Amino acid sequence: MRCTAYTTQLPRPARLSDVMTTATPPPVSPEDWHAVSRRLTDGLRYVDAGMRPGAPIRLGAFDLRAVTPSTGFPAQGAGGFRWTARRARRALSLPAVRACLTHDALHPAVAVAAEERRLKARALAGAPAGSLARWLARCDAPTRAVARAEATCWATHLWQALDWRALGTVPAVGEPDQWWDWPGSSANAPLALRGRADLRWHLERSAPGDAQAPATAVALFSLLGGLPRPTSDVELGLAALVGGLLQPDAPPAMRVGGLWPSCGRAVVLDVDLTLLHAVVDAVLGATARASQRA
Amino acid sequence: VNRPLTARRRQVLAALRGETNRLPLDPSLAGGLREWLEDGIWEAATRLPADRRPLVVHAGTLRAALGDSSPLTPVEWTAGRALGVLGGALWRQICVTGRVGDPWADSCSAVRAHAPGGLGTFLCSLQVDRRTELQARLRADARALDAAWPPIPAHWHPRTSDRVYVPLAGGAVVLAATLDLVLGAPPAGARSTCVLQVRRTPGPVHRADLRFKALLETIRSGAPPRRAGTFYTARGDVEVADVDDATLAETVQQVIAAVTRLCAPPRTP
Repeated sequence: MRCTAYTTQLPRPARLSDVMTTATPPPVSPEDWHAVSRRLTDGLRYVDAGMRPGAPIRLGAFDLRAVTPSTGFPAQGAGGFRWTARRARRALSLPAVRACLTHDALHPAVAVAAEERRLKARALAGAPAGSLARWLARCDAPTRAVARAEATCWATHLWQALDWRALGTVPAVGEPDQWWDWPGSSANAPLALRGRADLRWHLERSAPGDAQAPATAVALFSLLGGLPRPTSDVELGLAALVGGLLQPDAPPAMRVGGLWPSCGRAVVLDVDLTLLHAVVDAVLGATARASQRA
Repeated sequence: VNRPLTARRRQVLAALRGETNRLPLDPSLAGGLREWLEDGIWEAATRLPADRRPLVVHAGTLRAALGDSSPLTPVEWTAGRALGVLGGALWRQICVTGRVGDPWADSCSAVRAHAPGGLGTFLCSLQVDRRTELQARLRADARALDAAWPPIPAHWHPRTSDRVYVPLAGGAVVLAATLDLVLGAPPAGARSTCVLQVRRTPGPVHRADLRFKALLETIRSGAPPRRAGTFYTARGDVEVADVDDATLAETVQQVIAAVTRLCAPPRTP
């Protein structure tokens, strides 16, 4: 697991794009993926044996943070999800960055305003209850302004994070989260693992056997709030693991990166066996904690 | 944001833009300042007890530490402080959408959406006549603010309420600030950003706060901002100046002195 953190070299977007795309590592072989998958499922069976029936567990990157129950591990589904201006920033900003990439908008501030208008129109056309469109249509103008301000800030950070032309291809921005489901046993709880990345794009690397036909792999990148944590590596690696488990025959994620714009730090990791096993360990630990709470 | 560019607004915009000359950039400055901070606070940070980690240092904490008053005194809400926060919320709304409706209702909604804090409780506790007076002052501030604040071009990449954290000593100490407005693209060969804080009226501590924020932005983005200033909502004017390296160095010394004091064990009577 090679980790690259950068802080000083300017311009940073060019440097980060360079680190994300060049010197791609050898991919994890299908046999190794199979071994990782088997280790995860074997581990889950072991954890599963201690679970109480009827408590489905959903785990995302946030849940991999090693927080003990005494320090306030968030209870699953406690209070339910509720949109706020802060929570709306990712959902508003990713389409805005996509619009900038496709030249539908020139700047993030304009693109976020356009996205807000689009969602309001969607709400009028009958968006489902609980959707962002419905929330935006219902909240007052000042709250919407705060949401737009937060989203503009987030979108601008993402837009300025990378040198987009240096990526070699146009990334997919804000694709739906990927879910890997573990059915559990008849008496025990099912588990769903969520893989989330803001950007996903194909890296080209020379295939070992054929220099003429470049094989493709995937790079994943996310913008993150706050400060990096000791668990940031596995949080970033979870999206690669889920993608690999869901689509074993698809091009694997070879590199994952994250940028914390609040502190200007970035972490770029090669997806290798060390990282994948670390993610499996973190998932098993989080599952055990969640089953104890259930 | 569709707002006509009056002469007053044009002045503010010109002040934010500054001279067109490119300011030289020392690419090693940000790294050097950071190392200086790390070296300066390391020993003090190692004495910080585990239950006080991370020590989060804001501009206010810094001022209190340097003023030899207790940095842990809880903030008390006053009418002036409430007006500052409500005016700041109005400014953000105008900055983002270009318009504001009823200043009192809008600012209260925005504050509730952004940072509930204890302001709502304070406002509810006010007598009716005090609240009416506060509303009148806020309306006056809103008029001044609306008359002066220009539409910010989208290609300046405006970001409002941009949070900055600088972890030091392995995360034992975190310098933190919220930059009310940041303009500009990431620095490359020249200084490119402008940092603005929003206050109601001029005060003796605003320059120190601004220097602290400029230092944090320097460390975060890898280069000093080109300009830094304060916009006063009650007067509707702006004070902006170029950021010079000597001021940043002086601020580093102040931060080291303050963090050293804050890390010291509390005095026993």
